[in-house]
Amino acid sequence: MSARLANVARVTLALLRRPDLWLAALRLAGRVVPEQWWFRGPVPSRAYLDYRGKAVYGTPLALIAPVDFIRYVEWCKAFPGPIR
Amino acid sequence: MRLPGRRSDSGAAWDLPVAVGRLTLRNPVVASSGTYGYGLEYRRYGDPRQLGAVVVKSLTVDPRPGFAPPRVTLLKEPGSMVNAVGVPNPGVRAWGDTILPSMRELGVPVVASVWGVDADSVVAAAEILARYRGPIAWEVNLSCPNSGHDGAPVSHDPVAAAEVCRAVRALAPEEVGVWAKLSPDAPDVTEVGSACHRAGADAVTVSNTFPAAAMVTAERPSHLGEGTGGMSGAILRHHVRPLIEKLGSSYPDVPVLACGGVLSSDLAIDYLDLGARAVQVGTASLYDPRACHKIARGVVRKLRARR
Repeated sequence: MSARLANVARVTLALLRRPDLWLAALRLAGRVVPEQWWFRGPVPSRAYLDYRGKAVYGTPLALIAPVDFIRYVEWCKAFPGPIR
Repeated sequence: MRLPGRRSDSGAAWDLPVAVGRLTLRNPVVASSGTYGYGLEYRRYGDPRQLGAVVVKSLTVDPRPGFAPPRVTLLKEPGSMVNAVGVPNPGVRAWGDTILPSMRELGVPVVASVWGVDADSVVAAAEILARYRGPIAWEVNLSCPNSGHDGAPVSHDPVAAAEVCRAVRALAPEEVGVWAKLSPDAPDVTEVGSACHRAGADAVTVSNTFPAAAMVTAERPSHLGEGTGGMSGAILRHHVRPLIEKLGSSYPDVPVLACGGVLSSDLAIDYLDLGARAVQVGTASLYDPRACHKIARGVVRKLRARR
């Protein structure tokens, strides 16, 4: 299993332990689905993820730590949104 | 109900022209520096041409790697964060040679931000930037130490800030706007803003992030590689709003771009009602990559309905 897939598994496991964040995570997943996703699948844009990774960790190749992902979903849950 | 990934509207739905100095922006919503990449990274979440402008991450004379990670910490205050990214960028030349052409090809309304470790370095970056055509405006990031004065940051000193703006204005092509990005912690932000305008800045951006250390608690440990950084988001709004009001009443002739806690079209319109010509969206893009577009669309729709 690649390091990226292993990390996805770790992040998913961390999320499964927090049912209070499931809805916020689902909404987050909806927000990062790109335009015209039916051509490439409903997955976030690689360029966007690389940019975010570089901004936070200094490299686009960084894997988000489960604790950071959970903190981000908590932050999203508390965000005074939705944006409109 | 909106399906995720629905194609954005185009055309007149985004048109609400607004004058900012010598420029006319398509609408009053601008992506703030350092929060929207070069527009290219977000292109699958909305057409950057639909925004008023995209301010790129500040550019320096030489490439910078940025600060040690972690560079962002999310605050408990809803919609707020502290960052210490450290102006990572490829340098003005590399940006102008390799990234600017892609932005122009995509039709991004580019605003180039320049920064330096001191006032002279800011002007040196602007000298290099002057070789490139394409940006509709230059934003001068004044949050740097003062090299020739009393040691205060340039953004705190009206005289030093005005000198930088005058020098950058002299370098910028006639058709290119010059915006001065102010710091919210200056002793008198309105004086600095007025001085910059008199020195040739077409508009002032109020404001940059507020210097802060991320709070660390047992409940929510968080830290930054650099220790301290700049606070932004909803929490910054409490500081920026009075500044916009004060600048509007003291110097109504100074065009203002409001930046700080623009998390919805209603909050954007509040700044516009206070007299700001346009708003810059930053932290909201961390929550939603379509934030700029959603806010722009809301602003255009609601302000048109008022007419």
